[in-house]
Amino acid sequence: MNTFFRSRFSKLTGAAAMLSAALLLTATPATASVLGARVCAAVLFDALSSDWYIRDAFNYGLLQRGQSTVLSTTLNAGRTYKVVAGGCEDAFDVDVAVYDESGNLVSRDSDTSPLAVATVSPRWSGTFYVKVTMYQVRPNSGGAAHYVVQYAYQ
Amino acid sequence: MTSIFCGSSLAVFAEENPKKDESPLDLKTLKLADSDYAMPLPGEILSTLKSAKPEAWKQVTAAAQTLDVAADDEASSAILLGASVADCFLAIETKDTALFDKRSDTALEAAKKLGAEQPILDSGKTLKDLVKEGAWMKVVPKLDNLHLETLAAMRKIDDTDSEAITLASGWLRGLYLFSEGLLADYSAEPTLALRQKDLVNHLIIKLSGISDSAKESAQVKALSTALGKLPAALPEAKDATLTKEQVAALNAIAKSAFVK
Repeated sequence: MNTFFRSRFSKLTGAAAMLSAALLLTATPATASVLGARVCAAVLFDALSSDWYIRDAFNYGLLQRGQSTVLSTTLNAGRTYKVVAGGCEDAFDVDVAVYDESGNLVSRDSDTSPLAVATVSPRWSGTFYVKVTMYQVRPNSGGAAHYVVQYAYQ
Repeated sequence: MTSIFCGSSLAVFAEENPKKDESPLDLKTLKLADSDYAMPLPGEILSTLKSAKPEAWKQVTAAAQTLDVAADDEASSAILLGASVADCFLAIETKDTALFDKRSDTALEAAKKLGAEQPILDSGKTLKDLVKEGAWMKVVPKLDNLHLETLAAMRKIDDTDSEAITLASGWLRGLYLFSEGLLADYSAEPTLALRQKDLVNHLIIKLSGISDSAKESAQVKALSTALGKLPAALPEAKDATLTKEQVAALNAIAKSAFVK
């Protein structure tokens, strides 16, 4: 489900408009849904001030209503990170939570929105776990929606 | 964070919303695939040196001038690609146009040898134009994109060997440069960033999965040997820092990863 994936059509990371254009031009619905989730995340990246670096790589997948998935990454001490989970057009409420290597919650965004952002300033470098939950999807979505998880840091 | 809303209007749902889970993460039952792990950017660790003195950056830049790896086969091209991208990230941190031009040329040349498609290679020109304009912040995602697109191109032709070698090389080069900076202007706090055993283990697993023929390369052997020595040399405890001597040992290991 959580495949590390490189978008071959997203030449400009963070550019929501370009991603939207790509979304319109993309034929397959499954791909469009991932792109929709990327557009959602890109809205946040566009809103960030220019001194944020963005990891271009992202994880993505499909989650049923109420389903969660966990990913991992290495975050560095001395940096501040924004862990962004964006849902596609079918997503209604996506949450993200970041846990340290002991499983303790360090940051979360559980508001009702298809875009969730957790901010983390690690006191030490190491592995962190990112839990994405598709709490609610839109009607006529088939009960599932796509998500992407992407990182920015400064 | 509800201010940015991606979607249309609010909807009324017939079904009751699932209850939001507040419990800690149960790591004992957690099973993650290798693809569930997101690698940091090659330059991410370098940016933790931000507060270092200018002399330290001078030392790091001087160290980056030397990259004695001849790209005579796929394995060495992959090593050059990873290391050059790390150097480019350093050039971004130090706003060093000359280093960026030099290493982006090396990276593109290596990417070409590894089968990168023309649009990927063409993006190198865009990068240089941005650097000329001084738009350094815009270069980061584009360079990351170039790096990842090249890795994707390798996967497309089932060249997982080069992908693994490139990732390991990039990280080791970043470690080498970071430790050079620390040695020039040592303080304990930045060494907290070196607690990256899981990342190293991820790279070791990736590298151990390459083909036997790729493992035969002397340059890949050097890379593997260096990676194998790292877990014992990196800090373990959350608040553990390294002494200058320990940083010097790490620096020697990282340096030994790159041979002609």
